[in-house]
Amino acid sequence: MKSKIIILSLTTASLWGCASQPMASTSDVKEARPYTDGVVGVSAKSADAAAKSDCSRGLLQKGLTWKRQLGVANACARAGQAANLETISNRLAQTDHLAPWGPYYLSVAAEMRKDYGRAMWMIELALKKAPKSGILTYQQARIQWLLRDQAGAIKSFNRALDLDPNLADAHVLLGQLAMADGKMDEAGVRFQKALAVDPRHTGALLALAEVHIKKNESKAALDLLSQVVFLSPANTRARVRQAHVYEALEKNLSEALTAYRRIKNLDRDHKLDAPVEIDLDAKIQALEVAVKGAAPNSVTLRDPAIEKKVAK
Amino acid sequence: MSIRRSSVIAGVAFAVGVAALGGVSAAAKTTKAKSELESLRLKAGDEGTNEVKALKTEMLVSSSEVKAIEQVKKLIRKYQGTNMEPDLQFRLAELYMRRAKTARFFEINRESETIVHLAPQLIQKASSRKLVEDAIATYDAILKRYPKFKDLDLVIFNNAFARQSLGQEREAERLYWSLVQNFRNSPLVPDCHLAIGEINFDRANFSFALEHFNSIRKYPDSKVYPYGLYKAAWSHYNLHDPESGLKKLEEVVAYGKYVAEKKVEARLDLRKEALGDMTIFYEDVYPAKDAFTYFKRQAGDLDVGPTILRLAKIYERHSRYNERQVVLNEFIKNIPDSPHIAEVENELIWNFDAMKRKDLAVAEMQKLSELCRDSSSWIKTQRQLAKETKAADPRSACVGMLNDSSLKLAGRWLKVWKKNPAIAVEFADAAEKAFAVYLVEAADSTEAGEARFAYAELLFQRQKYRRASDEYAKVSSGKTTTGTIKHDAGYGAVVSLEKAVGDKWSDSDEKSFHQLAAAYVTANPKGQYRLDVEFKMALIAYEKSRYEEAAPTFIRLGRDYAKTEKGLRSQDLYLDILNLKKDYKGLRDYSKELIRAGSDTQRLAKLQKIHEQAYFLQVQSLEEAKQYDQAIVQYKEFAQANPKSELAEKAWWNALQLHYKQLDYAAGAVAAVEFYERFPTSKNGQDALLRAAQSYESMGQLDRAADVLDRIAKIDTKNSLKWWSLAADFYILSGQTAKARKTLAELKKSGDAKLSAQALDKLLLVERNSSGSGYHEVLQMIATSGVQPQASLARVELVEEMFKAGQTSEAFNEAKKVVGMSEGSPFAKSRARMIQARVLEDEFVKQSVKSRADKVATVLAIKTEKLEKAQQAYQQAIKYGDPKVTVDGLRRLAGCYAHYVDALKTMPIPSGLSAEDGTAFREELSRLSIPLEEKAIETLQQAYKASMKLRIEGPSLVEIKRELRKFNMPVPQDEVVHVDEPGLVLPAVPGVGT
Repeated sequence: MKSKIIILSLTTASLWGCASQPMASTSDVKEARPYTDGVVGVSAKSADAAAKSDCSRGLLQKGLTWKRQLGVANACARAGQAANLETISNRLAQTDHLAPWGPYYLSVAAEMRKDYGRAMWMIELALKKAPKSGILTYQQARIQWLLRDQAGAIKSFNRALDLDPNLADAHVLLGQLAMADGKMDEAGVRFQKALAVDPRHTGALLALAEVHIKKNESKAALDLLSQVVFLSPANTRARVRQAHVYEALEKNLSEALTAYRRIKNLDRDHKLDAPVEIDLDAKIQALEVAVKGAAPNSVTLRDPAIEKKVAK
Repeated sequence: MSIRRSSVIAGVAFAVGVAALGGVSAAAKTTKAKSELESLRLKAGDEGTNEVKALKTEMLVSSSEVKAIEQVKKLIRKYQGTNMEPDLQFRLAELYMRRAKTARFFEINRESETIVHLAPQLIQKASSRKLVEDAIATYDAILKRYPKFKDLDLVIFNNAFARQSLGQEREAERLYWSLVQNFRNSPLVPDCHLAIGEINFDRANFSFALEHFNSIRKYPDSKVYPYGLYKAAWSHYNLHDPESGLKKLEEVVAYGKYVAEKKVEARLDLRKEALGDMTIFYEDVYPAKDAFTYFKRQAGDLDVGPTILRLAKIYERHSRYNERQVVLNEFIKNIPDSPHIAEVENELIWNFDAMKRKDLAVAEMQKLSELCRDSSSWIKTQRQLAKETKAADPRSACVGMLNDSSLKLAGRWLKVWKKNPAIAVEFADAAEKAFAVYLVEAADSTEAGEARFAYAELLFQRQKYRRASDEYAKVSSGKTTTGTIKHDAGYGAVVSLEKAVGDKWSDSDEKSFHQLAAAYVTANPKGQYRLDVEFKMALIAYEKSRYEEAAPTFIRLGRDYAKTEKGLRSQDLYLDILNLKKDYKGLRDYSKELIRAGSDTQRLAKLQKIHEQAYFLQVQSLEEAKQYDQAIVQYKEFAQANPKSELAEKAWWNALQLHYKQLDYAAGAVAAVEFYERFPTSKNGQDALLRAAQSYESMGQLDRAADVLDRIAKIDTKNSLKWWSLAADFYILSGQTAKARKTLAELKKSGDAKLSAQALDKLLLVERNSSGSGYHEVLQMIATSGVQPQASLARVELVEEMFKAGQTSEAFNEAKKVVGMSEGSPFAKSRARMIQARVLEDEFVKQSVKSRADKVATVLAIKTEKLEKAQQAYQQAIKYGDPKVTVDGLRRLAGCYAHYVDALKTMPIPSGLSAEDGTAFREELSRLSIPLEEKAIETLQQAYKASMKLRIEGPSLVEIKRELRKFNMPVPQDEVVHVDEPGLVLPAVPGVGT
């Protein structure tokens, strides 16, 4: 896989370094403005059950406006139907040559096929038509990221955010990278920005939770993780990290035990979105032992004020 | 004189005959004779009938004469020897003479078929000479037998006269002379002098003749007296003595006056004859300037006009034009009211013509025209006189004369001018004026029509077109004009006006032209020049930009007369109108129609060109009207319909430009490619293909862009490598591996090292996903190319293949080469060193520690040495800094340590050792393994940390954790900072669904 990327990157470097760079005139750019004004980026993750049928049905419709064609293409993209997406993309590229969206979707379709060289070429073509589009720049950054061009990707993500601050995923990725570099504050700001755009962004919530974990801010972390679990009950990572916070930061072994047990049950019932990498049985066993030993403390630790509240 | 004398004699004889005849038959046949006479009366103008009537009369007379002769002969026989016989013989002779006259009639009419048909025998037998000879014989017999006959002088005279008629002039003269000598008192003496004078006059014996004519002067009472004077005058004249002759004639005139005054026999008044002949003599005797006075005096109360006119004629005959002019002018001056003035003026016209003074002739003509005018005082005067004398209207005679002269002279002058138009200009001037004069008074007649036509022709030829047109028009509209002249005049009027106007037509001229043209077409629906006339009408409208008016005519003429020059011009002008109106569709269709109708090659070529241009312009007009879709379709249709047209290429080019103008890049690209296919030699071919390639590229249709680039490479040979390189990239990007492979193979052979290396790189990319040995072969080629860093990367990939295939020694050695590449890729070197490390690790692992007791130290030393080699290799690989190699290297190095620990712990106890020694051996090995175990744990922890640092997740990290757990080492709870792959963001227009 890696070698393929290397060879491809050589090839694309050759392509992009020579005359084969996508061509677009300044007039094309001017003309492209009507195609970008008023267009907003929406996350493809948002589940859309009707996407498949919308894609197939949309392909049969002729003479659609570019805006409606965008809808069809989005449906195809959400449905992961690369061939259909390519068809509608080509149609869009022909009917609205000046619009960047035809090449954009061709890039997405190529990405689906993991043909990142083509995906990169197409997004660059789209950017020639609308160089100031945050959505397009973001897609360019994504392809760079997939091509392991981390430096280029970061640069492009930043530029994408300059152009369109509402790209939550870009904020999240940059935040995660900052966090990896130990820049927790910067990471926190990034995640906050992402959540400002999309308060339900689970990635941002999780990432911000990690920041709080690193800072031993268990309550804040738990709050965020709870939101994730609420939004995405199958989210393995959120549940594991929630249990870990109870266990390691809160020292609330009982809650931790409960959390792990729940994870185990969900895992058993195949209701988690990812495999659990820890040895749940060992963890539960260890915690059960620990909880038994610490049981009196936990009772005495109860806050009478809470009881009152309950009484109320 | 002889005839007159003869008729006198004949009259006497006839009277006798008739009296005799009358005595026989008149009483009984009075009524019948009367009706017969009426039937014999001649009718004027009926010549055929008159001829028959004359014949009948002569036959009747002849019959009567024959009977009379028979009767006289009977009487002669009856009274033979009596006193009556000579009288009867004389009558017989006279009857012969009479019959001779009748026979003469038949002789004269021998050529008449009518008369010969009606009386063939009579005509055949008729002989006047025989009868005259019979008469002479009879006269001679009388003279011989009856010398004392009382009317012997008459017998001699008639005998002489009869002989004179037969040409026996000598005998006749002798008989006349004998009468003069022998019958001095006979009243026939002056007649005999006259006869002798005449005979000698005819012999040109004028002196002798004059003597006899002068002898008559002794007989003033004789009826031949004035004639004798008259002949004497002529004798003088012939004797070159006109003055004496003139004197004699003056005597004749004086005698005539006397006779008139005395009212004697009118026929003796020879004044008119004398005055006439005097003019002949006068010419030789007196000057012209005195002529009028002289003749006025001689004429006395007679009209001197005829005499003057006669004198003028004589002058004319003798080419004495000045004298003639003088005489005529004198007449006009002295008698301006004379009825002859018109004639005199007319004479002057001709005189001036004879004098080569056409200007004066014309002036006189105009004077005469004035004179003849209805309102002229002269006409009024003459009319008054005519009324009194009940004569005909003098104006008609005047006009007749005027017209005759003017027309004749006009014709003559015209004829001269036509022969020498360049030098005889004055003839043309004169002819023109003469025609004008003539036509003022000319009635509407065929002759006048012809004259006016000639006049119009003259004007036309003299380039006096406007007047010519007017005259032609008059001829054409003339009631008496028919046939060719009417047709030609109609056309002449049109053409003349056309020439008069030239290029600039005023509204009034055009109106006139229309009237003339319409008249021509109406009068000559099948006229020879109908085409020309209608063409001109349309042409004028065309020239005045009234295209709607001109167009229908041009269309019709172009259709109906397509084979003629005008027809063709009509077609051309209609084409021009359509062009001027920018009606390119009409122009296109009409030119096509003409092409279909057929013509010669040259014209067809011209029409084809027009058709193409019109077609093209029509499409251009659509373009100008921003009807781009239609324009595109029609441009293409044009190019398809007219593939050989010079404009076909441009049409297609415009179509493709319009596609682009409409931002329809897809259609533009297709059109651009088709442009090249249709017009491969066009200088724009390459541009078109480039445009197509750019369009396809812009639309992300890279396979099509590549196909086009491949074509460009074949045209633009200078830059073919560049285009092929680009095409190859596009083929790769669009997954067209076969085409990419083919193109790259060409590039590989280009001879350009850099390009060749790039081609190999791309080939590798292409071959990577294909089955077969292609990928491996390309790798080999890259590896041996020496181009870095590709060669080192390719080489290391081959090394890895070898290693996987178990060719560890070869892999180790090849890896060594990669590591030794000075310009090799660090990544390649790290991987190569890693392979070496793996080989060394294998050797280390394979190194058994089983040994005898005495060899334990050696075996472990060998094992340790191999560990050190592997360790060194891994450490060197890690030093290159590649994250994956680093983590893998550390993990595998830790594995080596762990393996050594395991090998020590499980090392078989050498044979021969006691249990106690065995336990001690085992404890020693355990002790030896502790630092190695710590080393393994430490290295694993380094691997873990590196994974964390380098964010290497996945199997590698899981493996590290498992290894750590094996050593009962706590696994750090810190997660690798999880970096989510950025999710796809889709563009959406709020409020717009699918």
